[in-house]
Amino acid sequence: MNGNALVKKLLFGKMQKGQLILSVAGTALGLFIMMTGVMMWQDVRRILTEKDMLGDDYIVISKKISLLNTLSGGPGRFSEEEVTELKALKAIDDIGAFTPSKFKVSMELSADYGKMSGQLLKTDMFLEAVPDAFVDIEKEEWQWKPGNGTVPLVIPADIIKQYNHAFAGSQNLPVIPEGMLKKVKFSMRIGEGEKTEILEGRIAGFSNRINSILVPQSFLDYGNKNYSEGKVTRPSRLILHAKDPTSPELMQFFRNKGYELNEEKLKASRTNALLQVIMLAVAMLGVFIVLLALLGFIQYTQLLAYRSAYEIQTLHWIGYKTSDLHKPYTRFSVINLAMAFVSGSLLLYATHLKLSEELVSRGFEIALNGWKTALISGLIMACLMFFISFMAVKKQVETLAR
Amino acid sequence: MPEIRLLHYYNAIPLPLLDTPISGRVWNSNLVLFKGKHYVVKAESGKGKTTFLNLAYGLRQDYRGDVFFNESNIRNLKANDFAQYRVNTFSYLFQDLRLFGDLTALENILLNPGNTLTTGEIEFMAEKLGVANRLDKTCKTLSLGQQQRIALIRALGQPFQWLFLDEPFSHLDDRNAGIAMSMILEKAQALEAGIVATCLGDTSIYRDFEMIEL
Repeated sequence: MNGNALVKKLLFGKMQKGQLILSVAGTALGLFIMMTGVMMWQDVRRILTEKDMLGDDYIVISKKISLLNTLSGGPGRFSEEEVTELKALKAIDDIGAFTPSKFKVSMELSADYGKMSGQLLKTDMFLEAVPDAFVDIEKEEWQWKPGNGTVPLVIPADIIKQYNHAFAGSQNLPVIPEGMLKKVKFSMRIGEGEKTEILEGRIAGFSNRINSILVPQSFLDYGNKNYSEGKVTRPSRLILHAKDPTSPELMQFFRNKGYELNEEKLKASRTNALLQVIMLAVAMLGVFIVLLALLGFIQYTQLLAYRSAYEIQTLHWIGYKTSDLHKPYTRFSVINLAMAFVSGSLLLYATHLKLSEELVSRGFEIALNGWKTALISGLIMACLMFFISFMAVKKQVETLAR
Repeated sequence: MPEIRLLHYYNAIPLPLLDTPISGRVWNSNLVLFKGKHYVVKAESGKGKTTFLNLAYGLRQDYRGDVFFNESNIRNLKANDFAQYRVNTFSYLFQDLRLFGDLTALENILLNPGNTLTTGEIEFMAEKLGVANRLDKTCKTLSLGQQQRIALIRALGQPFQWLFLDEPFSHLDDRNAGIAMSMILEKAQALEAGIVATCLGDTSIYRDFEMIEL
């Protein structure tokens, strides 16, 4: 045996394999729990805040329907003054009107998809438009010019959810992921009688904020101009962008004015926020556990050095530098941490695969990539653990060597 | 390695000895040791013989006053400076020997970072000291006397300017002590090294040594 091997034998001579395995397993578990917390936090947040084509800060308001409206034959419309008043509110950044379609539109689906192939769906539709700035879709996708291309639609997310979660299951039909639905093209017939036009339509996105189908403003204006005789009317619904859409002052204002808004949806966004806080707490708990694991890991290495206190001191006394004596422990820490990190990561990846599988079987179509962030966080934590244990053991060896 | 011509103890005293009466010319005094000369420190137990060596070897910081290598105060030296000195400037035969019980006698000698001896030279020295057949045995199976001779070979197996011997013959019979002493003197003369030994009572074996009473 050469000198280095002899030194190693002296420094690790009193190592107990069982304790080593426990220490590495504990560290692996700690890292795994922390990484899982981070991964879940990321993934769940992503699922909860699934991108709405109308952003989170948008509110849709309308006027309460009363008997008077029934008699007058139309919904309550927002006057110029009322819009100005809303614009003056500090809580509101931007305001836009819903333009309703006044022409006849029907949709004809002729796509082949599984058991639905061969069927032809035909349905009349009601379309609306909001100013393009309120729709959170790439500009190139959300545009339409006469005689040019496909009409993009944003449809209420509830429709597809109802189909996937209730209808498909009960009727033994396949669930349709949102992504696949976006690939389906269908025909849109606009106009009546002899004056009709057939266009191609496709779904560009989904929104929880609306209960009608949105099209680009340019398309709606085109339809209203060419296929209806009705004159321009005041809007019955407005879309607002608010800094804090759930602020009590704003709610109070709407109530006083007799405006209605989609409160359910806003409550859901509050619930989402709460859930995110809970997931963050889980990740924090993971960090706490990993800190405990760190403590155990450092203590194990220190105990190992302490068991060889005589050897460390004597080796220093006969001329070994303290760095010669703590480096083997450092190397040992690196190997153990690497093993713990690799096993923790494998566990994490298995969890990720299982989670994805569960979500796909429930009709969610989201590429989960929280595990990547989780791996990075685990790596950072492992490096931090290495650094702290390196400092601790270095100090320990220097103290013992004296 | 720079030459350390002088070991200078200036008003030095270990803190644990502050309350005991001091009589000799070491503690709280002004003592200079010269490289190439041989000294034996004689005192009863508890007067600080080992501490005297340990101060210069860098093992203790709990003392008042100063110790100098030539003109430089050793308080300015770092742990790793001392580690370097222990490889090629100071060699120390510890009173408690400081061997590793789980390693063989040969491994203990080879493990010394300053060791320059080949296995053949170690066997030759072990032969002279009567422990050649013990080299491949673990140290914990050796008698104290055998261990002391192994520790001596380890101490003599490295270059040094100063050799510290803390009661080096405490476990040896007269014959082996004589052989050990002649090996020590031979090596020290070859290296022009200083020797500082400590001794409890009978100093008859230290014939040409300058006696220092603690």
